[in-house]
Amino acid sequence: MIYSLLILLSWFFLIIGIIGLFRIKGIYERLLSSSKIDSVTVITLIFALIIRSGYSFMTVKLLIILIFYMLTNPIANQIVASSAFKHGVKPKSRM
Amino acid sequence: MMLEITMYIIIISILVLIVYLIKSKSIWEKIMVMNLLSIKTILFITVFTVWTNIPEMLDITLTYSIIGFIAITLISRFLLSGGRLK
Repeated sequence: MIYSLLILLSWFFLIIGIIGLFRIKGIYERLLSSSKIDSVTVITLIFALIIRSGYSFMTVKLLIILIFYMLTNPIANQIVASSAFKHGVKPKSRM
Repeated sequence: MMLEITMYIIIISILVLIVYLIKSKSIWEKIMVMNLLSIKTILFITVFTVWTNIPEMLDITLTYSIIGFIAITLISRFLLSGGRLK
């Protein structure tokens, strides 16, 4: 039951992320939306797989992958954004 | 049943992202899409591993995620210095 619900949530977030990449203009806004939506997709999908695989050897490896992903994905997106900003790309929308 | 549909959705999103990668103009958007592509590949290998129930294939996923992270950081640092190795 919880497994099916989490899988359905991950489909929803995956499709919303792909749509948001095409609808939003400007590189910083695209970075914001794509990184947030993708983090939620990975977290829900890997939690669903953990619930499905039960209490076994595979669960520990899935947890290691999830922790590594949650540590490195914000760093990668921040490095891309800071590289674009230091090179002189202006944001499209002003606050 | 649900894992197969998940794999189909991930493959379709990878194809859409490749179309976006060819269409996009600036080079930072291309790096951003490369990051998304590596994440989608990691998800596909993870779902396929749970579907076939072979836990040794998750080592490939860890190696792929480490290589993608290092490649993205090094390429963006390289572009920040204007294409020179300093």
